[in-house]
Amino acid sequence: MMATVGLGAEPDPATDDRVAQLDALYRIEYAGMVRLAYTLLAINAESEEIVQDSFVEVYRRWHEIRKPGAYLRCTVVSRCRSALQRRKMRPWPSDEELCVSDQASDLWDVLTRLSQEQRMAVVLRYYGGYAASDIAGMLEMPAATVRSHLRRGLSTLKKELEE
Amino acid sequence: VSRLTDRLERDLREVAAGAHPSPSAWESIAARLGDDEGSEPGLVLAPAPGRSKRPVWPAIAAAALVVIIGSIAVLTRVGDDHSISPPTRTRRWSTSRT
Repeated sequence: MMATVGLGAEPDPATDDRVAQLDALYRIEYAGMVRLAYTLLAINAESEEIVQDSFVEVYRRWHEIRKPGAYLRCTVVSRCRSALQRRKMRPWPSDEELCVSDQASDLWDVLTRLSQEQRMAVVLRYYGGYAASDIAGMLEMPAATVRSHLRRGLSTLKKELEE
Repeated sequence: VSRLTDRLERDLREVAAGAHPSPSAWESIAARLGDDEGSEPGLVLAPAPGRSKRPVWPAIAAAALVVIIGSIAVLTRVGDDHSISPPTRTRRWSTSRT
């Protein structure tokens, strides 16, 4: 069964002790968020920086947000998306840098050739375990568009991996 | 498709396992919390879940309309000031003929 990244218990945002609450959120979410960001970006330092910036953002807005965990996930994904847009002209890290098996390396090669929206939708669905409606909120697009990106992404992956 | 999605889940987990979350990350975050305490929030990259995007164009259109109407009003006033008023002709009608 596929686990969903970062859908653990939500710390209580009504508490004034923001640092303690953020610490609790950190313990639940940090490692999972870094892995999710890494699966989108493939660069460890960049992934950590984005997740740490996102925690600081959550701290600043603690009293304005109802679900810190959900806000954190949206912020991480949104920042990863911006990083990918800035990165458009730079090559992806090679599979040697990723240190994965040949099979995962083949999949990674095809994944990096998908459009950014298709790749993000596929990673969030099949690594993150999020539903299309959750991904729609994170990527700020209609759920039908997310489903369309997923369908096209899977179709390309199937075609390329079977060749 | 299920074979493909199974492979996707497995291979993406393998990629994700290459991430190495720093064990001292909390210290880095906690050190920044004090710095950010008094500062105003900067650029918001992610909207709060459920918050709708407001279109900017009505505000821009309203501002443009104000500028256009203002310009027309100013130009009309300037035009009025510089318009040549017809000279007041003083005709002297001789009331008595010699």
